[in-house]
Amino acid sequence: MAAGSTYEPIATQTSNGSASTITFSSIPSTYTDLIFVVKSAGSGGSVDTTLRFNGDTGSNYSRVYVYGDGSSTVTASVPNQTQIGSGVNAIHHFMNYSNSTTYKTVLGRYWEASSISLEMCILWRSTAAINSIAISIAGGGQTFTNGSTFTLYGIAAA
Amino acid sequence: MANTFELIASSTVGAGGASSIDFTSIPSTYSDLLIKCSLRTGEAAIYTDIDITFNGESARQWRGFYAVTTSLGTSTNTSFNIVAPATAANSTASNFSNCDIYIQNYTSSGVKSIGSEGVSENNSGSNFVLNMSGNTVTNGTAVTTINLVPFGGNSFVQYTTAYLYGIKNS
Repeated sequence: MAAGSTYEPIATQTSNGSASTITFSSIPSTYTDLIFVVKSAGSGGSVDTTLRFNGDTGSNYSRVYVYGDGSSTVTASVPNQTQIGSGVNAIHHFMNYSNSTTYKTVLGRYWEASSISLEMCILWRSTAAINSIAISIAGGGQTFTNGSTFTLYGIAAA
Repeated sequence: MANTFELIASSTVGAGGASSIDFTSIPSTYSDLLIKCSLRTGEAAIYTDIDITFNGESARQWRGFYAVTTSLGTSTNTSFNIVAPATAANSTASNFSNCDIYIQNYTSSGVKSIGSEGVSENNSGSNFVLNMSGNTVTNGTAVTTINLVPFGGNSFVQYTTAYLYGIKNS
């Protein structure tokens, strides 16, 4: 890439098999965008995860999505959530995550070969800079399997 | 500053066309691979599905799904290596699709996960396509060779391009 790398790994976490939530905290505000790459599995076979930002448990999350599951294609929107759905294999692009003036938008896609291929747009109705991202495995009592990896990259404008 | 997003190789199809795009001797020094490609085939159709194979595999060990929206409607089905759409000959000349193919755990002997998306837009009410797919591969070896091949024996046309990037997570 020109002028040095701007696609830098901020942190990688690997599950030891006991965690149901992985949190990236103290995210630096020195980048323009974030890329969050998830390679995981649920101990009970869950193919769903949820995301939260800055520990916000309010009903401030929404998303619109389209997916195919091999038998039907579906598009829908889900407003006013306290956390927002994602998948166990995913790439999420956070745009302008560090400003303190606009709501935050995430373009994401996730896939699971046994069930789904999905693309979505997440809206977090907060003007706060994103300084933490937490991902949890859905399904009661499940954990991320040993070796699941989660990497957060930072992209800086030129 | 560490280089964590590097161009490994690129391919541009010449005047004679090409039946495949091949990346060989892929180093094992990255965490993930990303292919960014701009594709067109000579097939007399709206678009052509693009097949991907690793290490020249002949036995299919893939499983996945894809969803596609075109001027013909929306559909979803089991994916047999389909990772991208290529614009085909029934679209306006000089129009090429854009696609991302993200390959996780490519150096692993275990399961590789592949997520991809691609689009071809034609400035009309027809001949557009949006494709997304997810696949897993259990071929048991690290990926050292990747082949992109149009379905149906079709060929890529001149100016088709593909870029292979390596991404490190540390």
